Amino acid sequence: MADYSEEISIRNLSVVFPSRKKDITAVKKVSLDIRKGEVFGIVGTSGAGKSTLLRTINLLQRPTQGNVIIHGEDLTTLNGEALRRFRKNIGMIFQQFNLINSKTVYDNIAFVMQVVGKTKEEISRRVPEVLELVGLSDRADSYPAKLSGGEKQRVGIARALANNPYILLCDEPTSALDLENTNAILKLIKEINQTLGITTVIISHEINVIKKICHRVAVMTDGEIIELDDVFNVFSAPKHDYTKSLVSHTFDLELPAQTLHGEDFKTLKVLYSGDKANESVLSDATEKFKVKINILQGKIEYISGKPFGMLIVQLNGTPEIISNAENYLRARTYNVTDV
Amino acid sequence: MSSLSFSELFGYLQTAFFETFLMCSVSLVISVILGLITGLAIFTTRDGTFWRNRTLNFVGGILVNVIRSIPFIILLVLLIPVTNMVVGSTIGPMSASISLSVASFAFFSRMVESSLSEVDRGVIEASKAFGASNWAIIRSVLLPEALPGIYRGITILAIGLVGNSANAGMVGGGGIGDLAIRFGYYRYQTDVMIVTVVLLIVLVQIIQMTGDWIAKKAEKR
Repeated sequence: MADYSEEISIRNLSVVFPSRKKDITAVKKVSLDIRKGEVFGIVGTSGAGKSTLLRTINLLQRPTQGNVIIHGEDLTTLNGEALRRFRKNIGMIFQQFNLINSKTVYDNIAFVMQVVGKTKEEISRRVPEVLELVGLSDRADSYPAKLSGGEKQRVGIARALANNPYILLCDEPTSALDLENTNAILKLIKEINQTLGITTVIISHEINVIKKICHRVAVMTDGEIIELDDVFNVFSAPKHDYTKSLVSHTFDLELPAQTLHGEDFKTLKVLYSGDKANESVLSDATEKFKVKINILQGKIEYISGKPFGMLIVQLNGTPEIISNAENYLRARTYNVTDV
Repeated sequence: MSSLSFSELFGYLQTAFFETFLMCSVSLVISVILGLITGLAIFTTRDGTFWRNRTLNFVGGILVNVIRSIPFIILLVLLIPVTNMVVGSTIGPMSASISLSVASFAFFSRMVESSLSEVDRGVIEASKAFGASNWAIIRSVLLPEALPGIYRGITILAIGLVGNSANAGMVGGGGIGDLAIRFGYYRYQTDVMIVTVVLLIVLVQIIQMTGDWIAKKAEKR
């Protein structure tokens, strides 16, 4: 059997929207691989091309150039019937839910099964299953207008899973929801990813969404991917300026300028992952180098489920002592940067 | 010239009402069917969502616009040869129905088109994402979602037909409008005029209320 550890391969993909004045390139020569079973995030400002990129994965948007390869099959070579048949492998949920208002919850889900040729028996067996999965068993006969936003998105998820897809595309799935529903929907997506092992691609302009459920993330601006790494790494050591500003709310804390730099002290940001016992690192350093350590700020964040700590510390002493202590901290923690 | 007796008036009214009903219902059915087909054709060939087809879209649009530009009374005269061919006569309610249908289907096809345009693109796109064919989307998404709007369009169409059928009466179609003109206007019998006008008001009111009720039912809110 083929190895699908790279489930989705996007190769040199560009999308150009022709316009009277000037062609708009929404996606510029993007290449990326999405692994089987992971939750892959794409984050960026609106207009960065992330939605367009996502829509090329099921060819709702046909790329101007480049390929989308899923399970070894190049989607861009598919047309008509073959493309429609392939699409049943890819579920999708939307920002505005996009449910059919004139159909009940049951019929909304039944519809996507009918169109791929499922029998009535298969449908009547499967619909209650997916409704149970999203916790809406009692809503089968409701019309979408009677549901709350969170419930509508749950129906959207149930519909997306009805045909047992191995890929789930999420187009800003929580942007139209309040905080409570956002968390509930993200939790549900995460659970589904874990229990069904479904490869999930999620786009969002909210970094918190990415932080909560993604394993890896691609950061997009102006149609290009400027950074792609484990979410953990992107948060702890962002490389690009845009990424830095994006994650700044998580790990940058505003500090008054006069506390940052001085003749005999230095302010550092120390990041440590949950498995490193930090308390003793600081006291060890104090003991070893006779450095005085002043803790200015501290917090713990959870990134893709892992606890991640940050301390803003001030080292006091001679330049030599500070430098030795800094190196010591660097060796024993996840990351140390100047503030 | 003496005034009409009540029983005479009642007899005339009965015939006239039947003629109006016949003209309106025949032309309503024909124009709804033709209008749905034309409106759907114009809408689905408009852009890449279904089948982009510039030629069909252009020809359909021009046809509808040309028919809609011609004043109804002129259209009645222009269509005399066609009516003669189809019905075998140029007078009577069935003949009038032909011209009424032609004028109304063009009008209704634009109403269908606008109802279809109001269907959320996202829902259509979602259906595509799940592998639905164009026909499946039209049958199960586009038309059901546009149905409340289409029902409202049919209501407007039906009321317009009642009005237009009065014009058709002038060239031999008969009906309530014809009665109102012949007795109420030409013979100065104001009472006949009032009775027919009241009847028309009631008829229009009934159509409007029924249409609203059906449209509301279809909204599923």
